[in-house]
Amino acid sequence: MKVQSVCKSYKTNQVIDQLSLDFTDGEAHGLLGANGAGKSTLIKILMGLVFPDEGIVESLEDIVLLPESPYVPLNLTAYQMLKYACSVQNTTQVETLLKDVRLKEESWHKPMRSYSKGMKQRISIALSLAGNPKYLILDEPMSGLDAMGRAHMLKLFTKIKKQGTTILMCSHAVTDLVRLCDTVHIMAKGKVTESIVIKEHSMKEAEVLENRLQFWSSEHAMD
Amino acid sequence: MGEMKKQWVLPLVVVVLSLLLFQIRDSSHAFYEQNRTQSWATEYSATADRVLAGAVPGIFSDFLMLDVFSIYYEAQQAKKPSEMKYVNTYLSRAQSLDPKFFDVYRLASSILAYDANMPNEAVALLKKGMVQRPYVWEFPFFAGFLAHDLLKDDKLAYELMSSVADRENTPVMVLTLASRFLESSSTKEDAILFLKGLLQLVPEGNREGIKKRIEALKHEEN
Amino acid sequence: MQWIKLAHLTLFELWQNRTFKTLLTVALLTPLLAVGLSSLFLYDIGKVYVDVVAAMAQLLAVVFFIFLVVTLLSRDIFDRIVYVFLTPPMSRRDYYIGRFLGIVAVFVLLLLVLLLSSVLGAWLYLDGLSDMYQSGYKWNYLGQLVFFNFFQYISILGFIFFVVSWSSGNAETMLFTLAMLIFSWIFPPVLAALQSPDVMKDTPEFVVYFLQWIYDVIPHLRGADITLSIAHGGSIGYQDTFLYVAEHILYSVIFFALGLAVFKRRDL
Repeated sequence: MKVQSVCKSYKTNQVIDQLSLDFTDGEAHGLLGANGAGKSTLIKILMGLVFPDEGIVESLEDIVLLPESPYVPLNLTAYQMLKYACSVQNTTQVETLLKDVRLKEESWHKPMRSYSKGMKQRISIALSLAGNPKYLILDEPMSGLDAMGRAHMLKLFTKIKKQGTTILMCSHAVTDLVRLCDTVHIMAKGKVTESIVIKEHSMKEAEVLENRLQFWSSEHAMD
Repeated sequence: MGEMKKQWVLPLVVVVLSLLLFQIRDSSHAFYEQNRTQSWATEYSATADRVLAGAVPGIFSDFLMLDVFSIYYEAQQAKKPSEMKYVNTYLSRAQSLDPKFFDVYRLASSILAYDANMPNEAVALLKKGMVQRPYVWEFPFFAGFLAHDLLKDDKLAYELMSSVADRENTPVMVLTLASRFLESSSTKEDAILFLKGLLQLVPEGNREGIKKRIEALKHEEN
Repeated sequence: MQWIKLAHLTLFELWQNRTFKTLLTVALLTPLLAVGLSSLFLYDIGKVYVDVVAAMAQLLAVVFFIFLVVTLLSRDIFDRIVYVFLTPPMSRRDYYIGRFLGIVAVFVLLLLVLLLSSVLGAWLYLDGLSDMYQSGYKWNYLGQLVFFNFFQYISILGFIFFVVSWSSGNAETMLFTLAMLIFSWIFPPVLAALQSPDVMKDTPEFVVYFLQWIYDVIPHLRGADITLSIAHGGSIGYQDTFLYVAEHILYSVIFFALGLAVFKRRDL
């Protein structure tokens, strides 16, 4: 997964500015930045949902996105949607996935319009794991989940990472990033300003990240 | 207080819209009434109707016919005979939207001619029906009878009835009756006989005008 | 062939939509309405029955496309549900084709329910009347009516896919679709009226030429002629049927292809 000298602007607003990034396979990468830093646009560019004005993006066949909000068709049931996703990815692990994300069995066959935000997030996660992807992009994957849910999902993502999936996680929750990621890239004004390697996955490293983020988010940091 | 005011907004809007609707309906009646004799008015309304009816002129024409029924009952029940003057407009509009609509011509030969007292308009509509349905004998026959009985125009009656014989499936009795009309040898009895026959073809609620005409003919005969 | 899977899913998605179920109920109840209305008439009872079915077919189609299809596609794109679908190996082309065919399948289902219920209603009601009151009704004429109605709206569906490819929101898509429906609804009769000799003599030549050109180009919802002909027991000839179907498929394909070309290049 690689981008080289990528630029993207919306009218006069330069969202991504000459950004180059190389993600090592089999590792978990974090993207950290203030609002408007360009994280979501970068993710969309990687997924082919947004086209860059300039630069090269290595197009990937086996890449899946877990979007920021749980976007699901509300008239379908979780089971139908997941069955569809598995059929597209040529897998047959519908029930295993539903159990993995701890979606209660009595909700499997109910239309998703009756789901809470947390339940929708769980089914979104299950959808993103349907094809055992080689590359997994997580955009705020813990939003809408309670503390127990967050802990469970972190365990699940760690397990997936160990199975060889390359993960790119974008989050404002620094502690989640530190627990899962091997490298965290800090973004500001459309550029990657600093890449920090996480070795111990400790609270101390989380504090360092917080400080670096505050620094790069300050007005004069880029001058 | 603000909440109280809000509660009144919706009913008020409904009342205002209803009043507006009635106003538009009245204006529409007034418009057709004012312009009934002007041909451009009929042409104009036909275009507007076609535009509104779009892909479903059939059902629009059906609704116009229901309007005719309601006008008839309003005139009969509420004793407002002046309402009958709208019948021609509604029948013409229905005919223009669906030129083959049989019921339009049936009502033209009964209600329009005998209740609204508009035999000229009835004959004009039936003439259009003759073009649209060239195999139906009723239209020229009814038109011819109206010309003879109400317009007292035997030349026109001859013209119209002559074409009855050309039409397929014309009953022998009708041909006999038509020939008697053509020979000007028909009697009041023939006319009463024909009107009694017509009475059977018209629903019970719409027979008032024809019954009156039969009574009048019987009176003349005596 | 990923689009087949999405078409199948679309069928489920619309089938489970409450609005669609309401439309199906209306389609099932249409014969009751048709019987109720036609029983008020004197002679052309069969004609009025067919008129009601034709009007309901139009109404159901308009509601289906405006409230179900436009909403479905708008939610996909503007509420970003499309992110779930556009995961490799599903391409944008597969997504567009899958959604289109899924919607077509559901529309066919709706029309079939309307057709079957109307034929059943006619069998129970009209067959008991004498020929004089049936206005030349035959069950296959109702089939023709539904068949023509289907193709009318296939071109509208192509147009909706075109609008969705570039519009910036649900309201915009709905507005353009409604505008297209209204335009196709009123323009042919307006033009027909304008072409009458009385009006033509006062119209500048270039305006007449321009109007004729537009008339030739736009999709014609010529249900008016077809419905009237069928309602009075007249069948539509093979050549007219072929030309009609070809015209609407062509519009649909052109709009769909344009829409797909734009959609492939748009940021989501």
